[in-house]
Amino acid sequence: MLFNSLPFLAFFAIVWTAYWLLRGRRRPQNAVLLAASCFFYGWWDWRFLGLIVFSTVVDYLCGLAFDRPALTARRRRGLLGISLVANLGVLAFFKYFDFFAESLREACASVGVTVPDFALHWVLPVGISFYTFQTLSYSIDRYRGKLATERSLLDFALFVSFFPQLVAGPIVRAKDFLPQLKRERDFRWSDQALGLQLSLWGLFKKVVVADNLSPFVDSVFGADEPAGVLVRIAAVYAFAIQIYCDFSGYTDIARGTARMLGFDLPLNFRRPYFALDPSDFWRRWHISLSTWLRDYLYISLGGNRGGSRRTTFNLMATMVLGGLWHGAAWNFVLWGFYQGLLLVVHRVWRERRPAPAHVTPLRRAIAWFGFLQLVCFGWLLFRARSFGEIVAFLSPGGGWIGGLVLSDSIARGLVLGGVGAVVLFAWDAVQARRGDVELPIERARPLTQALVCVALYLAVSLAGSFLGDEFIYFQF
Amino acid sequence: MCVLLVEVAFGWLLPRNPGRHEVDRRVARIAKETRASRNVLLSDSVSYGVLDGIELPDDVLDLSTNQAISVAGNAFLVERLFERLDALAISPPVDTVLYVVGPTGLEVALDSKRFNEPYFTSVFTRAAEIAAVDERLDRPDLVRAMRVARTRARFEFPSYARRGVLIEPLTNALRGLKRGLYGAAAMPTTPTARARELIEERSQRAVFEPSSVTRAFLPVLAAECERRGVRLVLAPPPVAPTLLAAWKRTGMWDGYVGFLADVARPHALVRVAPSCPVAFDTDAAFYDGVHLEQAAKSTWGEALAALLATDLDAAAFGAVEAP
Repeated sequence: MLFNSLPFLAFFAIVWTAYWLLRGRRRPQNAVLLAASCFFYGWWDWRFLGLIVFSTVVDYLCGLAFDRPALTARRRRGLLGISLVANLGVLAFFKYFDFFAESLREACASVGVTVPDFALHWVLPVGISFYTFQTLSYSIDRYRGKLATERSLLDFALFVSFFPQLVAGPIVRAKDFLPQLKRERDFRWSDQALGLQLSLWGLFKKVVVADNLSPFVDSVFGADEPAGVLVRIAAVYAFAIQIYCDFSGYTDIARGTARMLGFDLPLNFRRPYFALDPSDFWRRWHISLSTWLRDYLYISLGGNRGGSRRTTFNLMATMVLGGLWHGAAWNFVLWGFYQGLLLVVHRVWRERRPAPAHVTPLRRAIAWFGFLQLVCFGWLLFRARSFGEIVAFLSPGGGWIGGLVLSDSIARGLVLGGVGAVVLFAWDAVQARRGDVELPIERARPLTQALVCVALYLAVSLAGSFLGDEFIYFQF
Repeated sequence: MCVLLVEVAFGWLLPRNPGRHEVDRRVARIAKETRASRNVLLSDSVSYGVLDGIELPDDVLDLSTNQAISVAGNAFLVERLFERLDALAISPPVDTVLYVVGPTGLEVALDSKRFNEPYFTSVFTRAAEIAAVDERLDRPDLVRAMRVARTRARFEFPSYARRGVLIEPLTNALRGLKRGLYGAAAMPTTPTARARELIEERSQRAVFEPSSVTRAFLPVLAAECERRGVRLVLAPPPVAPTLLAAWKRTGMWDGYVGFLADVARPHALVRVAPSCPVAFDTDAAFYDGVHLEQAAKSTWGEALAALLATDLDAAAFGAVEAP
């Protein structure tokens, strides 16, 4: 069930009504949300509900076991091991088995050894990378003693499967979300207004910007012959905008719908294209994943406590695995390696030349522009489907604007998506000037807020593309 | 509350027009037609859009589309036009319907996953249209998709169903811009390698096989025109000379013209034009072997517009006879 579809609108209207009719009765409210979440996930493929149930039960039981008296350190490690093996095993089996099987087959074929096809060719369960990371964080935090055991299976199951963020994040930590499930949720008009505004803003990003740019990007990346140089460059920039709007749009809708149900989900994007360097970028892009990787992988590997070489290794390992998290393909590994390399080079640079206390606007502008090009180059590695496509994309030929097919839908999409992107970055700029507010209209008068909402609604309805494009991050 | 008001206003003030593509535009145009037409143009993708930017007489109606709607969609467009003019008690609604469609266009079988939904099943959702498909084609997939689209249309927000109010002027402006950019292009002197390859590939065809959709609905279109006293002219579009020569040699062309003649035979008002009035003497006029380069498109558009401005008769296209 896509957020940008009528079925979701109907589904949410029913859930919202039932949920608030039970106001003041926390457990029934949670039960409604759990049932709704199962329905929401089962809409894609009910068979994969079993995986969520499996992940939930394993971590719930591990959590309870951590509470047993006189548990030795070895047994604690054993419990954590069970959780890691169960969750990462499911992830590895469903997401990475075919990738490694195919890679092995190709490697063998390259040295003349024929290996039969033993890939499973199973469908990737939607959102599996998100909810496994979410449940893992609970077990690791329990192991580290940073979290109390959750005794209510209902609440724990809802923490794992809460529908607004179930399939594409943000990845919520148990310490942030479980307490929200324990308290009474008050119906506040301010929450409803902010939730609605966030949802509309997310829809605007998704259907007006991302989905309108999508036909152009797809036509260039999917072309048989490489397009002209300028067309390829334009496609990379367009994809940079598309993926940001697609993913942050999903997050905004997730946060907006959660807010309308009285929950606060963490910020996942903080104007990432305003970043000045790689560290800054990863503090702004997919924040819930980057902090997860930092807290549970980078720090577990030793972080920056083992000297320069060890830190470099830890950074590279974290980013390569982060790249692989995005998808079972070598281009994602390459993208992760590239991001790791940027972080390492920046770190070495900063060690030799510490950041000046005062940076002139010109230097900031140069840093911003230069780093943006590096980010966009990274998106080429991310979007390509093979090394061959990357090489073809970077090869000369095709003239300057050769291969530019401006069909009605592509031309219209470029104009509407382009105008939408200008609005988006202007909005982001206003947000940056006003500090970390959710939305620039948050503190405006109610009438202004209402008018902006109507404008967003009309933009979505009149200029949005509703071709049934899924959110890009669903595949991860 | 504001959104509700906006939606009510949209529903009240504007006619339905999703504005996604030319079929939506044609349907919206038919829905507000108020006068009889002398000539109506239907087409496949070769002739679709060639009249854009050319000033046509008021009594010429351009219903050309890219043929993703198939012959069935074209038949439904004409039926909708007739029904609309019937409702206004305008009779006869049209003098001549000119359907410019080549062999490839007649092979469209509504089997494209990509095009069926936007161009056909979500456009033609009237009960009579669904019934016609159900009755004449053994295609439960199409019928189901049309029914789903009909149901979904009931729940569409009024503003969404009328987004053509923004999309259509924008599309027209961009088309104008594109014509301005490419309009002065000279005819290429040699065909591209890709065009040569495609012409070579298509030249091998020896048997013309109209799709089941064409077999079912071209007679419907002919009968509907006949019943209302409207002349229907079936005419070929420009074809690359190498391809045309090959098809005439292999019998493909005879099969195509013969099929049209078979459809026309029972109807006194249906004529077949065996050749196109504009013939290009180079394959370079066809960028992919079938569709026209910009300069050739302009030439064909001017010629077609001149024809449509006359009391159209198949004689204008050459001898009216079956092979």
